[in-house]
Formats: sequence, C-alpha cells, structure tokens
Amino acid sequence: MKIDFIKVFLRTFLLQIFWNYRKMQNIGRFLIVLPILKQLYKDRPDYYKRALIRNLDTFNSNPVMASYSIGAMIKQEEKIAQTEQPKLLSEEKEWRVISGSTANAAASLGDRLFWATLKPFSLLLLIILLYVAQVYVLKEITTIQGKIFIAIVAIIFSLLAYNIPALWIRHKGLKDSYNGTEEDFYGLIKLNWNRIIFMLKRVGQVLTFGIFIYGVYIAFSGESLSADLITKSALLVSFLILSVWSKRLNIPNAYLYIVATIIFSAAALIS
Amino acid sequence: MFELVIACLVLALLEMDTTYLGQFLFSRPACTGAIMGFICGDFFIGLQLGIFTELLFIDFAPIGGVVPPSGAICSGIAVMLAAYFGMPAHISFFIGLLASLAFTRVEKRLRKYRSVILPRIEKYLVNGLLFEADPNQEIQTNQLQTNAGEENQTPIMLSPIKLIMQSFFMEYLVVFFFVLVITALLGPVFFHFKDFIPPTLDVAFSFSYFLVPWIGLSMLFISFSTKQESK
Repeated sequence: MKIDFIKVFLRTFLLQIFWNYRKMQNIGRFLIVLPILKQLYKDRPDYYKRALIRNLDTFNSNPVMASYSIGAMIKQEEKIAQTEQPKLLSEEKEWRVISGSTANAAASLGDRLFWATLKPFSLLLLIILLYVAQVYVLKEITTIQGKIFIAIVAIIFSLLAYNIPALWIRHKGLKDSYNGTEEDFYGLIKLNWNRIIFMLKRVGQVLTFGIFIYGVYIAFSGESLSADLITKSALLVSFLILSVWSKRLNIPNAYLYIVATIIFSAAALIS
Repeated sequence: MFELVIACLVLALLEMDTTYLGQFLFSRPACTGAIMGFICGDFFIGLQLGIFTELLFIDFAPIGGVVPPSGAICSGIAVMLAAYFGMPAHISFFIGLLASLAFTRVEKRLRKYRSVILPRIEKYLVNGLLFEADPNQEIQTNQLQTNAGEENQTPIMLSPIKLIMQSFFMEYLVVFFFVLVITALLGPVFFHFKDFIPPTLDVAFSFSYFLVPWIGLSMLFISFSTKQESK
C-alpha cells in the first residue's frame, strides 16, 4: 500500500489535541493514523474494529519525535492487515511492543534535543541578533530605540532556527521509521543524536557566556562607581549564586524571583 | 475594552500552540510578547517582557505529564497590563508570572476533565467510525470500558472533526476568559489605585525585575551543561 506521508505528516500536528492524564496522546495518535486504518481495513470490518480499539491505547512521546514511533506502527499495521486469524494476536502484541519502545525512546531523545537544547539555543540566537543590531533588550526598557524591523527579522530567524530542524525531523521520522527495522531501531539510530545534542550544547554554552559578559558590559557601561552600583552588583552576584544553588535543589528560578520580589518589597515597606 | 478583547482573543490563539495545535513556538514568550506588544502598541515592552519570561522559565519543560506555567500567558498578560493600563513593566511582569502559575491549575483541571470523559469519547468515536464504514452493522455500545454504572444506551456517535473542533474550542474559550478576567480585573484596579503605591515598593519591584535576565542567562548557561551528555 502506498502511504501518503504528507497527509500523515500534516496530521502529526494534532498529536496533543486531546491530551489527558488517562492515556495522554492516545486520541491524537488515533487521529493521525485513522486515514491509514480506513484504507488498510476497508475490506475487513472485524480487523478494522480491533485496529480502532488498539490505536486508542495509551501513547506518550515528544510531539516532534513521535513520528519515529508512528511510522513504525503504520508499518506494523500493514503487517497485521495481511495476517490471517491464527497469527493475529502475536502481530498485535508486536505492535504494542513497537509502540511502547519507540515512543519512549523518541520521547527521551526529543525532550533532550528540542525542549532542553534547541529551544533555548534559538532564544540565545534571538538575543545575540538583537544585540548585534544594538537592540539591548536585557537593559532597562527606556534605553531601547526603534529598529522594529530588525527585531521582527530576528524573531523570525529564531523561529526558523527551531522549526526547520523540527519539521525536517518530523517528516524524516515518519519515513525512516516506516522503512526501518528492529536492527536500526526503526530509524532512530540513523542519526547520532547524542553528538548533535553535545555539539549544540557546547556552542550554546560558549555563546551564553559571551552574551552574559557583553550584556553586563552594556548594562553597566557609563555608570560611575557609586554606592548604588556596588550594592546592585553585590546583590546581583548573590542572586546568581542563589540561582545556581536553587537549580541544584530543583527549585525553578521563577520561585526565586517571586521570593526576591517579596523580600525586597517587605524591606522597602519596612524602611 | 474592545481592543482588550481582541488582544485576549489573539493571546488565547497563541496559547493553543503551546500544547494543543502545532508547537511551532509561536507561543514561546519572546514571540508572544512581541506579537502582543505590536497589537497593544508597544512592541519593545512586549519583546523585553517576552524575553525575560522565556529566560526565567528556561528550567520549566513539558516533559512527561508535567504542566509547566504558560510563558505565553505570563508575557501576554504582562504586556496587556503595561500597554493598556499604564502598569510599569516590572509590576506587570510579576502579575503575569502569578497568573501563569494560577493557569497551571486550570490546565491541570482541564486535563483531568478530559481523562474523565475519555472512555465515553473513545466509545462514541469508534461507534461513529464503525457506522461510517458499514451503516447496516449493529453497533455495540459496550466495546470499550465505560464509567461504572453507565448502562447501554442507543449508540452515540462522534466524528473526528467534531471532536477536534470541540476540544480546541473548549480549551480556547477557557484560556480566553482566563486572560480576559485577569486583565480586566487587575488593570482598572491598578489604574485607580496607582497613586497609593509607595515609591519604595516600585523600587523593590524594579530591582527584582533587573535581576531576571542575569538569573535567566546563568540558568541558560547551566542548561547547556554537557556533563551528562556523551559524544
């Protein structure tokens, strides 16, 4: 059967449409594969019913990398459609094994690559582009001048920096896993993901350090040495240390900011 | 008020990108903040609030079943409060952050609600599809697990398109009313009582706001740590 990968690819954007705690992305996955199921089982109503119910099983993966699981499951559905009754149960069992293992592996890789690396990396690119265009967005707002066009271009660039690889992998994942086998883990080990993540993180670290130093220089340049500046700098350093410490304790920085605001406000009101 | 409603409609649409439709990162705070700033008439305030939000939220990730606070809602509410009600960015940012934390509870309730109705949705979906495949076949209402005590009834059917539309609009309306209520309530309150805010309090908020990008950048540096990554 000829699979319309573009149709499946477009439907992958529905993966999280009915996210729930009970079976997570099951309805999304169901909607993605539904046209394939209709095509595969049009002459076998008893198999069709089983396939519909089977595809409502629990599913949870990274929304981009889930393609690596969906392609492999479509391939297995094709196999099930051609299987006769005696072997049906074992092929269905195999489908569940493929679904579980590929979804978990794809989720782990996707969360590390997209949420923990590429998304922050594209934010970093945005800040760098804005600084190159002299839009010092980390400084007090009153100092920002015009240059809306440049800022819009920078935002579009950062969105592309994330979306081009994400869309490519979404599409590639479908094809690779459909054509893949157990030996290449349904296409999941065709790319050296660890190396990609490692390289991006290393470059990200260097760029973040650079923008931090340049940002501090821009923020404090022109200020003369005063008690106010020393106090500001000392508090900044203290909070940087606190933020690293809170990260070790798995306390998100948003809470550190809330606590800092409350403490400063209380101190301001008391004084 | 009309402008505020339009802005809230746009913000709710952007928020849909976070989880339900697409994940193209239009809902990333830097992008949402800039778009909302553009709509509300102050692009750069929006851009800065967006970038600050994203930096502060760098250690929140939607991994597994975790529902992180919505950066889109934080930056969107902050921009609307700043642009429409003259609230200083350092105060509106704080309120936006609290609102996004509150919205996490709303989002969790929505997901729980979907879990409760899931068995019925599954049953109606399968019924509809089986009927579509062969209208003459007998549709069983008890093919899937249903809630305890639910009796077999006349088969109810649900088409996939209807399910997508219903699910999308339910979430959309919840987000829309949430951001509208928060902004429409807190904005005028601030506008009428701003003269009563002690200047020292303003300085305190301003200073904690000044810390945000630097704390965020240090977190960004740590998040790029390669200690646990192998080549």
